Formats: sequence, structure tokens, C-alpha cells
Amino acid sequence: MASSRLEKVGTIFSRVTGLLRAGAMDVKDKPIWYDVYRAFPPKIEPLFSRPIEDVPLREIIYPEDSIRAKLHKTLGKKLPAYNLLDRTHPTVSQKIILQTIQYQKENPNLTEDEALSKAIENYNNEIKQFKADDIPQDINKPKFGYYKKSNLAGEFKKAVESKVDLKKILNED
Amino acid sequence: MIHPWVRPKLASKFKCCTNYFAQKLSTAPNIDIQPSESDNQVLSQDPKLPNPLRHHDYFQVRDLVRVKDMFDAKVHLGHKVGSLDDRMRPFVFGVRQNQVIFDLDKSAEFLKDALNFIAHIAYRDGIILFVGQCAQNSSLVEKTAKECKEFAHTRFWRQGMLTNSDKIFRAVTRLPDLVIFTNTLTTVLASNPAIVEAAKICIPSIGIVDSNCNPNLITYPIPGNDDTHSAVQYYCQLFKTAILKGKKAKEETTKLLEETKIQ
Repeated sequence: MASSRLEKVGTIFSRVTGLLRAGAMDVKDKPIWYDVYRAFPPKIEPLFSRPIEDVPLREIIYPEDSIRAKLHKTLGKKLPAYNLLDRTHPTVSQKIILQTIQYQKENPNLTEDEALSKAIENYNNEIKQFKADDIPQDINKPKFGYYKKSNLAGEFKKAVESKVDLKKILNED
Repeated sequence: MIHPWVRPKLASKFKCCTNYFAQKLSTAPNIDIQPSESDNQVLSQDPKLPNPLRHHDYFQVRDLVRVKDMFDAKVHLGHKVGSLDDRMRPFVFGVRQNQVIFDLDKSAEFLKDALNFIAHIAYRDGIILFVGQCAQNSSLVEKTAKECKEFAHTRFWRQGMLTNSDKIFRAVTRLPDLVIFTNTLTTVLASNPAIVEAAKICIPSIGIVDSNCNPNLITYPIPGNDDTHSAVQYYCQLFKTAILKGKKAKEETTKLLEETKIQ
């Protein structure tokens, strides 16, 4: 099959069209992609020497970025790790930023720093409350939902204590 | 080449000649290349048969692409600004903290076109080759190719595997009709030689181009993240569905043809 191997001249479509027009390539031998390309040409012609468009790059900056910067400066490494796959819960910094914006809305006299420190305090209190709620008052009577950490020794002891009585089971049957 | 004016005279002279010679002479230059003409003839013969090229979205692959899914798959993340190729500038939305962010609205359009093209090639019984020299994604790409009964080459590309295939494989080789690049770079600086080879041999290519790639020689470039596993998973899943849809449509039309023949 005749073909042109100059990839820097024109596009694959223009080269094959030239071959077809000149009769170097039979119409029966035309590649199967040819009609598809004709019907749905690409948005940008795949030319090797396509001139570079001078498109300016813009910085992506959000209005709450100043708050975010201050937050990360104050808390920094104290911020907990995030699970990137979790899309249902907002992250800690998101929570604090939203709270700060809300404080500023409620009280326009507050400066950004004051609102932020207030929000951080609020968050710390929330965590303290959460931890306090989590510890059961009476250890003998664990609260509902309290998860006791299991270890191998404990599990074994539990299994030994709750020995299965085979005779009882057989008698029942 | 024989001049068209001379051809009829010659043809009359050698009418008695062998079949072979007549065939040689009949390769008339095709002045008006209207590939849709043959399709029109098919259409006129079988009005029931659809012509996929007449529809904007015959295989319904354009609906598969959603910007939200692309965002969730982290397609929008590019490399650092320092490694940005100037030819990728039109596809960039902006720069966030020195990291390039792609414009997913544009990427989605490119992806839709590419998927449509893939489905059409699969419909026409074309051979599709997946190429991507990215170690962490190669098994995924190979698995995808296997699942849609196509081919993949995700290892080192030996120079001339398309342009000099007969010598390299020591036999006459059927070349692919479409090459899909899941990754267009071999190292951080060098682009895959298969791109140039495909362009040389006139094979259309579809490629995911990151912010440090050159999209010029790729027929249907898709600007997007080509490193992250979730993004490559997303592309592979789309490519697979497009190929399978094209093949399914082909089966249906062949069935229709057989039915009409029986009637």
C-alpha cells in the first residue's frame, strides 16, 4: 500500500486524502478510520507544527484563602489527617473556615483573626465535649456504642470462659 | 501512473489481455472521493440498515462522560507549573498553589469525541491497541484490553514496531487501526516513540495528555491526569464500554442483514 511517512507534513487525514486523490491508493484500500474522521473530525487539527496559543495562566484563589492560610499557620501540624476518599464529612479546616465566615456574618465588627480564634476555640471545645462523652462514667456498665478494644489474650480468655457445653446442645436436639 | 487521457485508448487496445492487466488499468484516479457514496448505495439497498456516520451520537457514548465523575476520579489534576508544556496551555483552567488544573468542561468534550471515534472503529471491526508505558497502571490497561478482546502493549516500545513491523516480527503483520495511549510519556522528558510511528503509518491515535505532554501529533488528545490510578481506571472503564458498545451494534446490524437476506 502506498503511503507517505512524513508525519510532520499535514495530518494523517490530509496525507491519505492526497493519496486517494492522486490515485496512489485505491478507494477500496482506504483505511477504515477515514470515513469516521471525515464525519467527526477532531476539534483541533493534529498538525505537528501547530502554533502555540498564547493563553495566560491564571491563579486560582478563593475568597476564604486568607482564612485558610491563617488557620494553617496557627494550627499547622495539629490538624488531623484527612481521608481523601471520604466525601460525606467536611474536613476540620473546612469546618473551621465555615464557622469563621458564619461568625463574621453574625457580627460584622469582628476582624478575621478574632473570628478565626473564636472558631478554633469552638472547635477545641467540641472535641473536648466529644471526648468527655466518649468515656463511660461507670466502667462496669459501658455506654451504648462504646467500643472496647479487643486483644488476643482477652479474646482467648473469653472463649475459655464461655465453654460450649456439647452435652447440652446434643440433649436439646 | 498512466495519464487518464491515455487510459481509455490503452484499455481499448488491451481489451483482449489478461484479467490482471485489465485490473491494473481500471485503477482510475478517484477524482471525487465521496466515501459516503458507497454508504448511500448500501442505504438504498437496505433502507432498514442505519448509517452510524449520519448520527451525532449513534452509540450513545457521549452521555457516559460527566464532569462530576471526572472530578471525582481526579482527572483535573496536572503537574507543577514548571513542567507545563506550552502546547497544553489552551486546556488549562488555572494554577492552584503551583499545580496545573485542567478545564474539565473542555476535557469532557475531547473525551466525548474520542469515545465516539473508538466506538465507530470497533463497529467497523478495527483492531484497537492500548499503549501506555506506565508501570503502576500497566496491569490495569492490559486487563481492560483483555476484557474488550483487544490488544495492549504496555512495555518498552521497540523502535519500528509499527513502521518496520514485517522485519521485527518476521512475518506480514496486521497493524492496528487505532492506537489508544493511556500515557504518552516513557520517561519524564521523552514522549513515546509509538506516537510518531502511528502518525507516520497513518494510524489515528487517541491519547491522554498530561500538562507535561505534547498533544500535537495525537489525533484525538484528551487533556487530563494520566498518572493517578483512579483517573486511569476511569478512562479504561469508558474506553471499554465504548468498544463493547461498538461491537454490540455491529452484531445487531449483522443480524439485521442476515434477517433481510433470508426474507
